[in-house]
Amino acid sequence: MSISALIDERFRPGDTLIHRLDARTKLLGTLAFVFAATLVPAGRWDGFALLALLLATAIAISRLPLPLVIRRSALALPFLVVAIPLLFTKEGDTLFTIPIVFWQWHATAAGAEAFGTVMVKSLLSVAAAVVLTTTTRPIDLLRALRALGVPRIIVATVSFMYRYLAVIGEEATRLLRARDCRSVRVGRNSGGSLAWRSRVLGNMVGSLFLRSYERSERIYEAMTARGFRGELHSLSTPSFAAVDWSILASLAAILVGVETYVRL
Amino acid sequence: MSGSETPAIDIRDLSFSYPDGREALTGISLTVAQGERVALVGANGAGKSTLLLHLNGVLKGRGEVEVMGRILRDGKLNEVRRLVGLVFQNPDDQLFSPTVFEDVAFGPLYMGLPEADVRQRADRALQQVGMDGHESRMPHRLSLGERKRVALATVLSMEPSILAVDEPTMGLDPRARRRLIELLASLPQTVIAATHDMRLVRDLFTHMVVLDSGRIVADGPTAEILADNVLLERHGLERP
Repeated sequence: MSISALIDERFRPGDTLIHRLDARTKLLGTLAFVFAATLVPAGRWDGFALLALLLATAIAISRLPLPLVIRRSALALPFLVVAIPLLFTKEGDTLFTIPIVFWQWHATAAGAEAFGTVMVKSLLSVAAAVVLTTTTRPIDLLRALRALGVPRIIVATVSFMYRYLAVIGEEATRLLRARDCRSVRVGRNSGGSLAWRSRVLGNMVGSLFLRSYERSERIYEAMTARGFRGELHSLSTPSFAAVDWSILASLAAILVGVETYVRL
Repeated sequence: MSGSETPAIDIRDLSFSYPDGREALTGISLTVAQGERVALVGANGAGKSTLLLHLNGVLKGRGEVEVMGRILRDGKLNEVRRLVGLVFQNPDDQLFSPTVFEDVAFGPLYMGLPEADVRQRADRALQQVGMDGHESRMPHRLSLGERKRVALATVLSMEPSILAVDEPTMGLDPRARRRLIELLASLPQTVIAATHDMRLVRDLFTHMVVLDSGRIVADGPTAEILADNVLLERHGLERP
């Protein structure tokens, strides 16, 4: 499987209400959802359950396979490592103790609650973003960002990245393929030392970087040749449909409802 | 084919589709005798490069590929990869080391050969392509012609029996092109090359195979096929 194929397959075509919604609606909705998840106070599990139910409804409507959403949401897990100290830094009743050399680390109930809250908040937010990127074509997402007033330069940077990530991915695939063709294992000594192989890989990454850098210069020259003056222009975007307004309005009502409920 | 000698390449009824379902090769059968030089010609997208990638198992289709009497199958690719030196179209894909020498030494080093052997093989390969004396140069500072020759040296150092070359002369100036042709003519290996350069086909290759949409539409001595104007025209080719 080529590296560029991995990038392309984020978006899964479909013909559901969620797929058809304007990208701006989905982007705003996702942002609102993430804010709402962030604003729920620690330990209000009923609030989180309501938000999870809302997200599950969206997943059901868009007919995305649940395992896919869960697998992609696992992206949030590495970031949870930084939340682990929360377990030990809150005051409260000790749950369990980990002895580390000279110290006794006490995990507290309040700490566990804080950690669980961070975990649920990040998983909910990432899962919402996964639904957004899986049901929206990347190009529509970029237009939506622009239409919602994100500075041109940022949208342009992201769009260049999307355009050339595939190209660079193919380049990396070809590099790896050419290396594998010359990697022949015969007898016990073949394969080289770990240090040597790491150095080869480092060299490959380095040459890939150099070539990407040179490519960016060529692209810039080609843009300048076609009249680029540092300003990107885009076509105007169509206006919202009635369904977009009603979805946004109901989403806003639900989220405000959840926030009010958890503060009662 | 000469006598009962094992053919260098023997492909039987090979078909291949890309993961997206596009059929790239259909029912390819092809025999290449040892020491023969065969050109694969055909329009862009006819399947030339795809066929080359099957010769050492980078791609695996349905059907059988036999190299020097060894049938390609999983687990036996190492032996075949040593026999078939694949030279890619873009030398930048092949050259990833900071210096020319390190790149040419990569294959032998990976095989686990003693250092003296590695050095000897790399020196010999660089001599063969006329790049000795450039060992410590950086690949991205070389001209395209030089990079093409170094790319060839990176597989010659593995002492293959067969060279599979993708577009050997593309993008080269007349002198660099001439040098590369002379170089290929001087090598003892069986050569199979994908190319659009019909003059190269005429001057260097004894046999040619015409591909169109993943099928072999002609296979025979170069002189005969190049004399068949109708055939060349029909498959988008030109006489040199």
